[in-house]
Amino acid sequence: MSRINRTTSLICGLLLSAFLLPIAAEAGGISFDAGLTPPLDRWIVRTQARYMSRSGESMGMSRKMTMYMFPVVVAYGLRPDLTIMVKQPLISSKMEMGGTSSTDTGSGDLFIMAKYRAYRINTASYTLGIAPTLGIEIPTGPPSHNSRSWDINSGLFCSWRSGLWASDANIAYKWNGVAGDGVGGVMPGDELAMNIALARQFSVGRRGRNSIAPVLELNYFDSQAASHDGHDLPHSGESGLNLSPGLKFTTSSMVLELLVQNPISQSQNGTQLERDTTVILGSRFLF
Amino acid sequence: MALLLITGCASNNTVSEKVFDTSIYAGSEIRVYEVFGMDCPACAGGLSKLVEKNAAVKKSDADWKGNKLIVVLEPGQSFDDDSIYSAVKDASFTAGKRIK
Repeated sequence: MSRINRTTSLICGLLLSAFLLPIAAEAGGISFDAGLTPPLDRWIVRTQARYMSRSGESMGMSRKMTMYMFPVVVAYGLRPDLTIMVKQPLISSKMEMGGTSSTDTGSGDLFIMAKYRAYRINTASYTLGIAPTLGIEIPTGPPSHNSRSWDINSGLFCSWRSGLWASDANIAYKWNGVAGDGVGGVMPGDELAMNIALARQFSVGRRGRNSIAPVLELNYFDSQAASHDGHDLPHSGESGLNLSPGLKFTTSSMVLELLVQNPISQSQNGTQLERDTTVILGSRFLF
Repeated sequence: MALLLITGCASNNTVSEKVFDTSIYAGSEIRVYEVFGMDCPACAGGLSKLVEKNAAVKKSDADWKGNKLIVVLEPGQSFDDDSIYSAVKDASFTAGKRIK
């Protein structure tokens, strides 16, 4: 491959990463409570600040991408067994390559999801909940962060509680590009995500009403290659596993959470940048 | 073993009493129910919100560790326990027996 072709390849890889990172950015994280639906008429406003970066070096050219995501989720307990959620992310990204950089800020696509309580048992010694979800991502974002793709997301969440211990697991699959023409004709590949979490609560505060819980999560993700005109693109598609320690503080009306996602295994196709550590700061307010 | 059981029970009772200072509601009827499925402080908050929609309820609080719901009635008011059980169900929890 000539030097020009390899340079073109690097640039293509970086540009593809820029388009696809927002789509595949949310590789799980703070997934507990997922299998347990909130009470009837309960409003939950959840915000997160996610800092993530990708970096790499090839042919002496240093490359880095930094992204701040601020997803805002509003959830409502429509029925005891049905929760409706709407998510709107705000995204700010910066790309650096060969001494030059560019930044971009804007809102992302709108995501609407429903969670159904398929099974729940409450006993004196444990609680078990299983809840499937179905959602759709609508390409409502401005041109810089619009995927131009309608995506369907389906998942299954399972939560187990026993005493002060809590564990959660989920599997989710996202069919990207069920409609739409993609950015520049590029359709992102489907995504698979699996998460497991274990937490142990300690009661704190006045009268022991609040709790603080160390958390440990494993987050796996697998994104298939993007395609153009029905052909897979070489510098797209990846998989990886994160080991993520965190902390959660809970009161009767608020949750504060912190998670640090450390990649312990990852594999990218082509010349894509590797994921670095991701930091997630979150809050939930319950009304 | 017996000592452990006694200690455990005593600990639970202490938590319930600490969670809700009922002495300030002297003169009001106070009811206590068993509730299963509350696993964190946020769960307890959601149940209290539903229970307090009942006009006859002056104050309620849930002890998420002790599996108890404490309800203080408005003076001179009364209501059927079924309305509490209905609120517990709407919160996706399971009601046990009425303790008090």
